Amino acid sequence: MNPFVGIWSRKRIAKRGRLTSCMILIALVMAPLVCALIFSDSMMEGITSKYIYLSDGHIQLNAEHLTSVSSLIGPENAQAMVVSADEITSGYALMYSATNTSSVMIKGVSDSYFNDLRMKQITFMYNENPSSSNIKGIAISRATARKLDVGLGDRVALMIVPDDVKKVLRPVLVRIDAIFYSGYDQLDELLSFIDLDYARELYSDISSTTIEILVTPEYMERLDEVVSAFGSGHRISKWNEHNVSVYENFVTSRQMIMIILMLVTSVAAFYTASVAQQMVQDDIQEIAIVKLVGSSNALVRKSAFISVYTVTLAGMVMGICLGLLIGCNLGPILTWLSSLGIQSLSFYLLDFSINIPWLSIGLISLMLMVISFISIHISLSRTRHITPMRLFTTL
Amino acid sequence: MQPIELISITKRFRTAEKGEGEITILSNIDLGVVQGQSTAIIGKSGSGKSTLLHIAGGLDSPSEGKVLCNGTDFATLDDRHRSALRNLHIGFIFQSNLLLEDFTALENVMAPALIAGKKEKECKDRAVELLNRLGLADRMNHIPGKLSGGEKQRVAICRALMNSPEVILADEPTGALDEENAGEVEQLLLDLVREEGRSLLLVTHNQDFAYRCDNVYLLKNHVLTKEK
Repeated sequence: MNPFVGIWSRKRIAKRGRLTSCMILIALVMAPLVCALIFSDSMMEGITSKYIYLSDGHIQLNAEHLTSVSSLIGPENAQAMVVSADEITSGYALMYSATNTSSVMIKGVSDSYFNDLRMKQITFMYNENPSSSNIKGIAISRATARKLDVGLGDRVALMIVPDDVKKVLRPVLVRIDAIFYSGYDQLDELLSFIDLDYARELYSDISSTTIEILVTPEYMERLDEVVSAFGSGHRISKWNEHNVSVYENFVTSRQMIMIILMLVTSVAAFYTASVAQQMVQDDIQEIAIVKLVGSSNALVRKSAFISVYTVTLAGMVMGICLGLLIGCNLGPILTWLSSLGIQSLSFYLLDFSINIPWLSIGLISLMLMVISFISIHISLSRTRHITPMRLFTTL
Repeated sequence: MQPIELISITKRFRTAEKGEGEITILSNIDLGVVQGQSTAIIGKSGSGKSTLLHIAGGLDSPSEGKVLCNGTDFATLDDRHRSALRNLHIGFIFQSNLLLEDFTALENVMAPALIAGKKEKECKDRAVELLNRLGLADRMNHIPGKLSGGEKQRVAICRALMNSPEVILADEPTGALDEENAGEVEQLLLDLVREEGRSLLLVTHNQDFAYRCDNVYLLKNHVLTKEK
């Protein structure tokens, strides 16, 4: 690089409040964008995990073929692909308390169902002094407990929605032995857990029983391979097929968020072009002098470009660092928000592990760099109209 | 080969008022700046002296005729080559010193050499040498705002000499200075040009200064006539 370009660029950056403002503005735009990306990506990943681990598993296999997984896909595949396979029986019921009613999914599970992976997604509060009556126990969510205004040890009535049309609608009484909280009320308020054997009594149709399979981390993004390992002749569905609307909502939300963030980034990038334009306007005399002493227009443009692009990149890096700092510490902020009990927050998952979407951050940064690169270049094209003669026509 | 040669230069300006057409400022002027000699152009205000100097330096284009700098016609060059030619072969000094306000005296002097792509150390050594020679050793790190009018003009002279150009074009270089400073700058300029073997093309009102040059031309009624 020509040494004069370096000196001139440094002087411009040092003297200009406007360039500093540009850097701060880019940083202030990038920081919330990065934070929003971390929040939305982590939350969606978190919600996906809740659905997978608590509602449907990665894959559901119809229980008509109920047998060991290794006999279906071979012991090697089973070891490589499958973490757990649990039989569950589920159906729907209306739950009544003395004051309110709620529609829930009753999910019958065995003791082994809540393995370490699932326990990371859920918190249980148990009844310390369970009564010794014959009434069966149920675990309901904190959201359902709030709705029904019930607590541990209380009894609620279940109106079982039969899975067989020939069966008669009948009420049963259950006792709340546990209240759970996954962090996502939208899912929680639909779920309740009972013992697997009791669920089989309530929902005896074979179609109500399935095998929930959790796959190993290596196969989480390769579910199709796991499905094909089972071969044809089985009714198998992936979690996203089982929750089409939830999955499509996520996909659409991700796309919308990216589009909105990209639009915001574009505005910030175009702003740098207007800063460059204003800088040229302010520097007309300086540019004319530099051309007078023998600088080509290309050298003038290069210097102006380096000044503006350097502060843009510096602002971008500052913004990303700030966004990562805030984004990685969202936990305490969300915990505090959740403690406020704001109703509208039930639509959000407030307890999730932070996932940094490097690809999206990279994409947004790349976009800022490319758009500002082009727009700054375009806005600097007017420097060619500034000739040394300006010095004598304006003085 | 002459460092600057003007051949049949005519310059017309379009007048601001519609329908008035054009006015002629310079008409069919020939002038050669001889290597190692100083040439002064005198004339009344508005006679076109500065316009002639701008054309000679490739800052402005003639309506007719051509300007050769070291044998190269300015009109045939693109921006990059024209700038390079100006950078290496011509030094400019104006009444208003036209220094870069955010640059120190040293950086201002170094600018033409840095633009030419010379090494920073080499540029600094040459700039320091020039500033010392013109009595600005203790003002090198001052920005123009902290320098007096005479000092600024001496910085501008150093800048003009930085790349050791064959020719220096000076437009009223002492016009904004008091008598004492003007005398000093005049002497400096003539001495430097003589010592370094440069050519000087000077435009001035100051008859005394003009007649200390080797050649004197009078610009009157758009034409140039030799006085000395």
